[in-house]
Amino acid sequence: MDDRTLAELLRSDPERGLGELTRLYAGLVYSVVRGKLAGVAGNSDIEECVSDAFAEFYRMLDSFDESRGSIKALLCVIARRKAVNVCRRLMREGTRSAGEPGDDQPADVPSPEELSIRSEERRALLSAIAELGEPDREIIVRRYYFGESTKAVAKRLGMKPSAVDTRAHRAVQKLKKKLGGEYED
Amino acid sequence: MKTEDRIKAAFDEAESRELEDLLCGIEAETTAERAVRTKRAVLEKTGFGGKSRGLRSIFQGNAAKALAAAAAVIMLIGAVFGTVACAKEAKVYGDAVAFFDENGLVRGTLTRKEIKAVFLDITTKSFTYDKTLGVILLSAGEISVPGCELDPHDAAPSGVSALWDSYTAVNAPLGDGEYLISGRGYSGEGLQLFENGIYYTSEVEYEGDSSAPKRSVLKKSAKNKLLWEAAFDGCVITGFKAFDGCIIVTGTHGAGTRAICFAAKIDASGRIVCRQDYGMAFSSWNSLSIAENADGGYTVFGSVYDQQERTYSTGMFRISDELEELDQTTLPNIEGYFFSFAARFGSGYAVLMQSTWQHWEGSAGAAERQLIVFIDAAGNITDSVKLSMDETASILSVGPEDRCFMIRDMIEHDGQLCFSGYTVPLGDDGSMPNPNSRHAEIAGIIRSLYSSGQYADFSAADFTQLVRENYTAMLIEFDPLKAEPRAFYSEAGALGDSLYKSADGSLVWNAVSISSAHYSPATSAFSIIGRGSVCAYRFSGQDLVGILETGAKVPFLR
Repeated sequence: MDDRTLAELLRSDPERGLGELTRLYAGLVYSVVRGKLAGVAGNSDIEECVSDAFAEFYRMLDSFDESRGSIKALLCVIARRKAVNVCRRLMREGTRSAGEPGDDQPADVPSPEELSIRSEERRALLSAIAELGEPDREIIVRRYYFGESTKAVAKRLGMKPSAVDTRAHRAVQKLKKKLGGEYED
Repeated sequence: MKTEDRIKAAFDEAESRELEDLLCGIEAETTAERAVRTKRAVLEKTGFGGKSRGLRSIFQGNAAKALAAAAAVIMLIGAVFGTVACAKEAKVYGDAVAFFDENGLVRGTLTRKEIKAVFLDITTKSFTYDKTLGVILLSAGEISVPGCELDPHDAAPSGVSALWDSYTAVNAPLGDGEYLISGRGYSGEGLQLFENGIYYTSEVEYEGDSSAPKRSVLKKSAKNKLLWEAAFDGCVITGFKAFDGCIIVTGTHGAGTRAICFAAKIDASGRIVCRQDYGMAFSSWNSLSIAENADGGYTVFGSVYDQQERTYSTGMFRISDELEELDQTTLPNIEGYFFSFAARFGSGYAVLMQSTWQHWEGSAGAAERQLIVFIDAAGNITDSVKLSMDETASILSVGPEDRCFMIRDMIEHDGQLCFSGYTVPLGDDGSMPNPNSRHAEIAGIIRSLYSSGQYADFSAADFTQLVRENYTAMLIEFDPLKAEPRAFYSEAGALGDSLYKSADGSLVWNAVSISSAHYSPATSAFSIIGRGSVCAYRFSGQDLVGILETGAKVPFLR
């Protein structure tokens, strides 16, 4: 089902549309949220965040413009930002549902100049990842966006886990070299 | 900020347009149960939950307040325990990172949880965690160990444990003042270690999986601190030699029969002063030696392969001080011999030729295994001398009768030729190991291990001693007029390596004393790995005037 048809279904028959939306993207949104909250929050928090992301997408359906991006990408953006907020909240509260503390710290509020620089760097980095070629691009997305383990990535791509690790390591080195600047090992 | 952290941060802040290309073709599934729960929760939150909306009203009022209070207490208790758990976790993580750093382990794309799990898996010696093997293999990296291959899908804990022992044998922590010299493909042989710990290494870099070289780099380091590197794009460095004030580098670019040979001169600061291409000077530049000419300039020696005749000859390629081509000479093919080393000798050169493999094993001409050919400055052969006069003994029988001498370098000293190398035992049938096969040197050790069934019984210290007993470094002097070799100096448990002349004219001999050796049938196809310590012996004339423990450690691989 294409995005236009799905958006129309959501508007005309929301219950059916939401059923279809979750059927298509529950796995993806779960992966995006888990990629941020694994080790920080338990499954219940993760699933809560996933359903919140779908609900928020539905609430902003009226402003959805398919010319600006796909439903898939927009859902991922919403899901990740919700997960970031949950992560920050959990860090502040010092509450752990399971696992161990995450690596994130609440960020200081950046200045407009810093925001602009960060946006440029982010665009350059994401663009470089998209240009990595296969299977490196997918390995990086699954490792760092979805938080999948080497074993899971290897199984998905039909590769040996050691090969996945090696390719991931090399891809990161490529990105580091390509983007130069103050990237550390 | 680390690159991995930047990647994660970029994903956190990505906008939908930036994700389109990234997510193209990438899908993710979930379990049927989770999909149902997600749908139910989404419908509830969007007001399409039906009966579930009614259930929520039961919890309004006081019951809801009681639940909220209970939840607050639970959260407070959780926060207290959470703080203690955080501190403990942080310590374990800190210990894990320190362990990784101390043992040279690559963290790569491991998560925090995975780093701790690998650390605990190794330190508790369980070796059951599925990422441990990958970490060790990735960390072993460029120090490739022949035969050290475990199937990551089918690696038993005993195999991973054995691999860890092998890895630590090569990567044991260094003592004060020690440093490890290693690099892509570097096996520890042929290192010229100069005063102040200065040495040169070369590496080839490849683009992705391509077999075409992206570039080669010559590096100058001092006690493992990189001083400079000189890069040659699209080239492979095939040889280099340091002279007073400069380094001459030779190499090729292009492929196969269209390969172009080049030479370059690099000054003391790492600047490429000049470079020259030579078309197809030699059909291949193998076994290179570079000698400085008496009248200035250099001569490059190498093997030349005639594809039509299928024979090897020795080629001499003379270049000026500015690397301009002067002339090329191909020495007449000496059947059964191939080029090994060359060195300046008097106003000409001495070329060491060794018998080809099919002439070993006691066949006719057993004594003619090594030949010195003397050449004048114009490339004319003036004399040739066999290195051993004994028809029945192995070459250079200057030591015990059951051992033979493997030559690794050659230099003129005090009007004579000086050879550096080491003795190893002969085969059981009296045959000499193939000089091209390092593995043949340890055949006796492997045979005795398996015949006695003791391969699993040696402690690390005992096995190291066993390997040390296999080797004796030797420095041999050869007077071409008398055609008699004489043992000059020897060192048990070591391998003689490179020779060079220091600024004051004294002879410096680098020898590698084996400091650790490890073997495991679980991980290696009959290979021994370990480390050696480089010692520098200084001779003034015939007198030993100094022994220096350089602190340099090099890999030992057979």
